[in-house]
Amino acid sequence: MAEDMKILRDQFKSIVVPQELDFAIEKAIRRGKRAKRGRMLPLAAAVFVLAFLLSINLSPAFASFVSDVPGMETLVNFLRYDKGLRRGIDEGADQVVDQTVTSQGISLTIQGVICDGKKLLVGYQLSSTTKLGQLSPQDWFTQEEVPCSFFITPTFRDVNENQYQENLIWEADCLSSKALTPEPGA
Amino acid sequence: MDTEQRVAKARARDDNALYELIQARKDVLCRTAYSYVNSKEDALDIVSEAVYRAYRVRKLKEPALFNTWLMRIVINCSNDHRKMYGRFVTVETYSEAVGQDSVQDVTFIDVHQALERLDEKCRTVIILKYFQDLTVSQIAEVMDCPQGTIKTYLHRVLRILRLELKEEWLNG
Repeated sequence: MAEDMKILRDQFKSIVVPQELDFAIEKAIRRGKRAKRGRMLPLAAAVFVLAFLLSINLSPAFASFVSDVPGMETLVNFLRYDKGLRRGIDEGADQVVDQTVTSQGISLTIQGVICDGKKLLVGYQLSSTTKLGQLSPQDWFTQEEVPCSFFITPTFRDVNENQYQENLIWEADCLSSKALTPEPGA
Repeated sequence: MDTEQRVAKARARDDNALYELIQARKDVLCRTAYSYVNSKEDALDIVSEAVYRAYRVRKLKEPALFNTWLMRIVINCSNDHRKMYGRFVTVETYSEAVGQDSVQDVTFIDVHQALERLDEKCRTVIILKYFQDLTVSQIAEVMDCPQGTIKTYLHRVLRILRLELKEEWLNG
């Protein structure tokens, strides 16, 4: 038996190594090189997406900047983590205020308010017979002491030829009790 | 430049060093793959896949064990290949590789046919021990298990082979 087994070793050595072996090895190394490059790509993409998500959620300024790019607005609203409150508005869970003040041809209607522990959303409508300029809720406060950040989603709508309307949501971070009770005056 | 220096360079992503290391071992790697699948094309595929895996991973703590590690990759690739495609061995496939003279030898065919019926571990032990002529401690390194385990496999394999070969001779 043991003697028979020695033949196996010699036969193993006599196995003819094909000429194509070198080619196969080189092919494998080329494939390895390609794969190495390809491996970095998904990683880079993941980092980029993560950075984008974080920026949009943490920085309202960045979010509103990106929203300005046509087509990106839907994306931004989709990716922002605060959908809960906005859905609350959609489903009518907000507190209806429906108060209008008119001044110098511009009427401001506070439609409703909703808030949770973190954010306060005020839905309001501006309508005017002249084209509306850049009106920011910041202007409503004579004391510039309210710690809030703005994220405005304007939906411009020409009601008729000389009537402009703007539906807006004003969003404030309720980090202090001050921001919880904004008293807008037109 | 000796093997250990080359391994150190290969680990530091030196492609040439890795290439030279593989070149030095390519014949035995290819023959090992061939012993598993008994086909030239499949053996080439296996070596190619093994080199690819070696190139990508390069995780190797002990430079002295480079050749062992490379052999283990080839064995794993061979077993994967067998699982995927299976292989029926015919007398013709032997003659293709080793020439007519060897095929005349009854033992060779008998052992190969017996090899087909063995499980993965036993087949590997036979190929390393009797084809490559490694020692028990070298086999233990390649298969990454204690020497005692290898000895157990060897005993079991030899017992099976003795029974099978005796039967073949009786029948023949």
